[in-house]
Amino acid sequence: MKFNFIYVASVAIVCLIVGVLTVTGVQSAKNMTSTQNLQVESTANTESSEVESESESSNAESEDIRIEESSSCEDRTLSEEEQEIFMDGKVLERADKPVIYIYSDVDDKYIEVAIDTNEIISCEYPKRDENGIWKIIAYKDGHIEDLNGQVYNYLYWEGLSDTEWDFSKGFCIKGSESREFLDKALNEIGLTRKEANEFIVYWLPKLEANEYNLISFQTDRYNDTYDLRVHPYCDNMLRVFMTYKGLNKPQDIKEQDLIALKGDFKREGFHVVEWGGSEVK
Amino acid sequence: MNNKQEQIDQEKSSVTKNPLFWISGVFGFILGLTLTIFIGNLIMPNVIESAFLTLGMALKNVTGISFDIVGNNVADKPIIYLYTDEDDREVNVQIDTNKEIKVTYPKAIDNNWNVRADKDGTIRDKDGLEYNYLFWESAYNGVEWDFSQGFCVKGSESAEFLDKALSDIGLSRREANEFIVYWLPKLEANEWNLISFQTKVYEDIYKLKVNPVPDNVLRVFMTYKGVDTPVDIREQDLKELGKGFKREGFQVVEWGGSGVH
Repeated sequence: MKFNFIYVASVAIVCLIVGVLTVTGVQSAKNMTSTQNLQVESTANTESSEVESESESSNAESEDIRIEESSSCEDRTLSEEEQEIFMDGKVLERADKPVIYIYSDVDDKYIEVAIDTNEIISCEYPKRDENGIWKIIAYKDGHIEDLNGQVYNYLYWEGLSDTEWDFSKGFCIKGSESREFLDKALNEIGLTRKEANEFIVYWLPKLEANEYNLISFQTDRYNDTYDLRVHPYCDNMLRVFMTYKGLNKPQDIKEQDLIALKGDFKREGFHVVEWGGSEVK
Repeated sequence: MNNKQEQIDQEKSSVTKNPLFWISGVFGFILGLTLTIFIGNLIMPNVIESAFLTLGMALKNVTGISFDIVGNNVADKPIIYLYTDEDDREVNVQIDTNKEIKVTYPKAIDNNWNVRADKDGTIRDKDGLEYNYLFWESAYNGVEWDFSQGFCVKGSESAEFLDKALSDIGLSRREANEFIVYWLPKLEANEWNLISFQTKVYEDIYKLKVNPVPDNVLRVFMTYKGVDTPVDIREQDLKELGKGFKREGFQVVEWGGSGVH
């Protein structure tokens, strides 16, 4: 047979190609979905799968691969990118990176700050004392010192809660138009450009990763969950907490009045500004 | 003559009728393509990678399905501070890389920013909108980070470690603070972290080109791996890392990082 050699060699090569492609394909699929796998697995173990299954099924195309792959990913630890953490069968959402700016009316002012909440504070910087209080020295230019003299730009914390956020009003924004939206919205709410910039570089990659986002800035419900206590009382306080849901299609939502959100906040006297947010699945 | 021609034709058709001819043809084609890609990847990996990147993005645009040929690791949140030697100085900054830059703020065009910068670090775009820094984020695949030297740090002790390490490297307290609040929750989520600050590997992949040429440049790129038990690692000399960098003249400071799985 004339073609014998070519035939055998070709089959061998094709097997090799298929092998290589499978390995790389599996590898990348594994990296890609490892975090989601954990969600799928975890929900299977907990009772709260109802909420979860809705959002999962929207990603139906990749669902199949995930489940196939999941067995090989069991040994992976929970990724930090995980937006939801499962505890006692409850789905907890993360209040991501609230940072608190303290602008004192005088230099070298002693201030105590605390978050009054029943929820878990999962990360903080600087560290609060054993009673959960930040004891700091604040300055007019916004920089903060702890009692050892270490300098900070702001107080940072992160919380975990199962609060049902209010999406009755808000905005539906295309992922790719998030930057223009945030530039404008944060300015209307009353953040300075510097604060807004820090907000944007944190949230922009997360918002741009979705086709559309349903965005709503929380007010009462956020204050009820995480009450911010400042002693001595501050003259003005502004708390900006953005919640968003990723969507595949635009959705109608009653527009939120951002200027009303700002209320009578003024950049006068001793004032405190906070921004943070949370992704809602 | 005619007979001979017919004979040749007949031989030809008998060959083309043989299915093995076509099978070997197709396999030969695949073999050739594979060899080209394989050898090309050895000789000029960058070209092949960008070809696949383009292919992947084209497929994604057409079908809407991500084929994930593009990298799925992320060079997270590098931000670039520009401290010029005079106010309102025009600066061009470019990230020279064959990896995909996914997010930029302010918006970079072809990985280029044209901005004006002040001595205090304030940056303005052409519309006069102010920025604290230039921000970018990139997806990559298959980078072998250098973990030959570094630190093994307990998750719960990350804050103390970073306070000291970043100060040793030469970040200002404001820069270090911004670094820490970004990376702290990620580091604290792990029991232990193997941390290594990258130098050459990082600079080769993401070249930073600034015009006018700055007097001092400091690029801090932290890579970390979460580990369950402590691992021995040769300690990295952080002072060496920031050696030669001075807060003088036109300075460019960048920090970023990446979690390695």
